[in-house]
Amino acid sequence: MIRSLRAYGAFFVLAARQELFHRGALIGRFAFYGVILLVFSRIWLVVSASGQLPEGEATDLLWYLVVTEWIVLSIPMTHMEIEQEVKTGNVAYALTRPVSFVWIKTWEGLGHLWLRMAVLAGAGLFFGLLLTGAWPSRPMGLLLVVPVGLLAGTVSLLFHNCIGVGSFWLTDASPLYWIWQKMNFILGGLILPLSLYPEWLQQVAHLTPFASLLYGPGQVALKADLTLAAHVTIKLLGWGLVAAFLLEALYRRGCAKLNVNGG
Amino acid sequence: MRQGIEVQRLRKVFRTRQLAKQSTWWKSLGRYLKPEYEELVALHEISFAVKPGERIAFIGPNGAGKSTTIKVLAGILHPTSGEVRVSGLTPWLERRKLGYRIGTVFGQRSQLWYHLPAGDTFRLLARVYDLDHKAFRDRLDELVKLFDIKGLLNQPVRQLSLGQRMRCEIVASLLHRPEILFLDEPTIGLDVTAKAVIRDLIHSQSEREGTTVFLTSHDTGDMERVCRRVIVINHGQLLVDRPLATLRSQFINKKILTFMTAEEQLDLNLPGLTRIKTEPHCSVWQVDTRVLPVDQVVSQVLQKAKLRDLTVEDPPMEDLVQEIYLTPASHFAEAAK
Repeated sequence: MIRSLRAYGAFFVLAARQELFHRGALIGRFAFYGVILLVFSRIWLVVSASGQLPEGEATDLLWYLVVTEWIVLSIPMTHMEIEQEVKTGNVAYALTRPVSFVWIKTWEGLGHLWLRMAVLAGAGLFFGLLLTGAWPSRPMGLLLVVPVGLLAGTVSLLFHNCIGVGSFWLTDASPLYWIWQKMNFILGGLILPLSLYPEWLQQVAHLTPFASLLYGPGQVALKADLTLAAHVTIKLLGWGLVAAFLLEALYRRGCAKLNVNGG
Repeated sequence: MRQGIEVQRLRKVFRTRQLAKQSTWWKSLGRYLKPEYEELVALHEISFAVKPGERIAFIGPNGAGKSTTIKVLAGILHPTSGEVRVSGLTPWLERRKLGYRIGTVFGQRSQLWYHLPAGDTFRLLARVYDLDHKAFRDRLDELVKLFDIKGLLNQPVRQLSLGQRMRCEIVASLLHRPEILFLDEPTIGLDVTAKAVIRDLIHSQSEREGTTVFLTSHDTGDMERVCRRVIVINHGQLLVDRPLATLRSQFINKKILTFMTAEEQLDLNLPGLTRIKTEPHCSVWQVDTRVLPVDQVVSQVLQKAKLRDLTVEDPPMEDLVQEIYLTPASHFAEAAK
């Protein structure tokens, strides 16, 4: 166990190094984050000016988006890497190692994820303050959301890898990812908090992991409530366990099913 | 104690989905909703054994079943039926344990991190195989010297030539001192010099450490320079399992010579030499090296014509397989004596 953890740790470090090495990609992500926040800050300002939102709520809505986009933009596309390795047959190398292919991919993904989250957290603060000119109504929430956001990103990564393992059957896992992504945006409340949704849709969303992955951390950032943070953390840990078991089960079945491509 | 490879009645069947051919749209829809599968038998109950320290060439033309076999032996593919023991383990059931005992090199794939120097991948693999720092440093120093890759360690892998990268790939596979080294087309795409270097390195490494080598290739040169025993496979069935010397006397004794000359025609009349093709200023010959050495043919050509270019090649693997097909089994028994 410790032996495996040391090995996975090495993949984590190497992935983080590779992330730093690709400065262009980090800068691109930074710029995209800024553009998204700029567009929505203008929309919320217009809505607020029309009197449809109470004063101060537009600022909080933008800080909510800062948090949800921070998580979404930090998650690496490991499902595509898994799919690519299956398509090209490179998975052959990984399968002959004494460590698990999917957990290698997970730890590699964590190396990318946590480094991106560190960089984009700074970017989020910068853009948030620049575009709203104010802190959220309870600024301590921004500190509280850091561990919750890291956990949400980690759980999302596990689900992404489950989608990637789908390529063991389908070869192309993109359709599964599109469905996941769109559901995450809608039922996770990427742009708008779920509390603004119709009641029935809120109930549906709370039955899925999506509400915990984006809306939960967004609420923690705005409400700065320790009890809420603990509640969201417990839900995330639960979904994390589900995702981890699902990943391992899918991988085991996938290995028996896999036909490595190429001669 | 080191153990080799034992394969008993290994069978592998792939199921592939059949596509509708020249069909109406509703038939295509029906086929889509209720797909039909076709079975492709990649391996027909093959059996063989490899002793520890042996160097085996597993050869055959494209699609013969070489890579499927190596993938089953390495634990990547699950067989349809049959028994396999590699270093005393069942590969697909004990893959993690097996990982410590085998090394793999796939000529058409890479295990090195593309954007990072090879040295980084080596350090990562040291963690994967749980090598302590000193053991890893000593082993790496040894392999770096043997494979002459000191200057390559700090270069990003994407900047390496194919030959340089392949040397690094083999080093990566040997770091944990595997008992068995599986090499799947390790020289594919390499130039003549790089091929010779890789073959010599694999051979000398196996001699030095007693590593069992299981090499698949469709290049007869690989088996001649590296291995002592040859298994020929075609259409998923074993054709021949013999020492290299036996096969060499019967089959691996021909070379294809291509001469480009200033003269339009080239006429040679030597025993063991057969003309294959003639074009103006170019002629292709097959020489039986048991009867006539290649250098004698070349010196004869130099006397008769102004030589502009010369190529020496092995006959295609398909020709070798065809020849083996046509040879009665009794011949091999005689040759073995």
